[in-house]
Amino acid sequence: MELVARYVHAVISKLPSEQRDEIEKELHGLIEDMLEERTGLDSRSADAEQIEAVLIELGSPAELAAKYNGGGRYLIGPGLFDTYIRVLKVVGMAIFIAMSVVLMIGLLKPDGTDVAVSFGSIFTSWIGSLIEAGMQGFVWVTVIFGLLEYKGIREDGLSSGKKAWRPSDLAPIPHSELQIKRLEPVFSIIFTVLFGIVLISSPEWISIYVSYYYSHPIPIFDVEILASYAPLIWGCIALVVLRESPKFVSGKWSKQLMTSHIIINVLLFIAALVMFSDGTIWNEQLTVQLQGIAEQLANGKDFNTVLSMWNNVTSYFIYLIVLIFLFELVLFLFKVYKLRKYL
Amino acid sequence: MTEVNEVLGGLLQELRRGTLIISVLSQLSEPQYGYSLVTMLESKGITIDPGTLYPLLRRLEKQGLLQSEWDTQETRPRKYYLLSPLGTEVYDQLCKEWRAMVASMDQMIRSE
Repeated sequence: MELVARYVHAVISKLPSEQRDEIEKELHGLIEDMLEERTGLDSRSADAEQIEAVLIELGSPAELAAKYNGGGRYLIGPGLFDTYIRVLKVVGMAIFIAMSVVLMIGLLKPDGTDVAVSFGSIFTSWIGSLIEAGMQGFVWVTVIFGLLEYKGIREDGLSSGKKAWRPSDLAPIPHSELQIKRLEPVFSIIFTVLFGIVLISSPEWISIYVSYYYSHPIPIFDVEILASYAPLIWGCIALVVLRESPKFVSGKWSKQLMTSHIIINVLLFIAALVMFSDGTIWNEQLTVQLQGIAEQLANGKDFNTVLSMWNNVTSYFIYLIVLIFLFELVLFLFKVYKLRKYL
Repeated sequence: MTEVNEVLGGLLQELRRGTLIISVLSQLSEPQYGYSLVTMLESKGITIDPGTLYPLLRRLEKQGLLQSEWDTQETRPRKYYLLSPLGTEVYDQLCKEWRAMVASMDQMIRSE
């Protein structure tokens, strides 16, 4: 008797509470019926072996409960599976890129240890964080899709309500001209982050290096002024990431993407103007420092070419920025014009 | 030979699963409780294990094809199932489809 009660309990404990009472009654009845048919006894008088035989015939409680629950013995069903895999891929790529950027930032800021050693440790931590973040991403995506499945939301329910699918709903094949190579945004983001990190944390790396062993590299920027622009530089990095990540996700140009591309480029242009407009960002002492080195050199080198180049660059750099911006804008508008019929 | 049996076993199981609902519906023009249905089907050559039949009955009831009533008069309470009007209609349609299917299957198999 006790065995039967335990079996029934094991089954109904896996069922929704509102069905438990009835199924409990039903199962007790069923087991009694089966016992009676096989042995002519009820569960009070039958011995354990006979009861066990009946329970084995009914199968494991988990299996029986699953049959009562009506299939659904999966976390993510066929309706959602394709979307699930697609999202997993995008999330995986994003994690890989993000972690690689973090790795490079780590490489750019060596903490004074041997480069080989620090590379080794950074590489190990890169693998570690890649696995960790990968797990996190996998778990969260899976949990979210599991919940969607549990709530009975199907892919068509996700996008277009309960309307019947029609062939006219099919998205047009993106014109090959509209396609964005996935690597381009990735490189843009990585390069921007690297360059931004150097500007913010190690601006002294951007220097004129004179191969003379008394000399120090002469920084091109006024390090302190540059440091005061750090928030602006962070902002620019964020803008570039904001500009490039939708390209990575969608992989093709759209009106919105082109608009945001132009808007963000204008913002970046304004940021560049702010930084370079008054010229204080350049290292004022550069001329003096370079001449100081020249005096120590015995070979009569006077760096005149370098100095005149320096003067030209610093005084015309702002025009160069304007020129590059306009050039890029015109090229891009031309591209928009060319692609307008596919948008 | 074992491979043949293995594949055949799987296919037969699927085939039986497809016919199960018709078998069950066909016996429920009179009220039956779960286990009486098992023995009834058994005697007509259809084996169904109770662990499959009981959940199936509940599902068919939920779909509106069956109606049920608890009989507490006997020694132990039993839930009796009976075709609902909707169930009767669906069963008639199913039978029609089944006969058509059998006819075309026969034709196909014979022409082999």
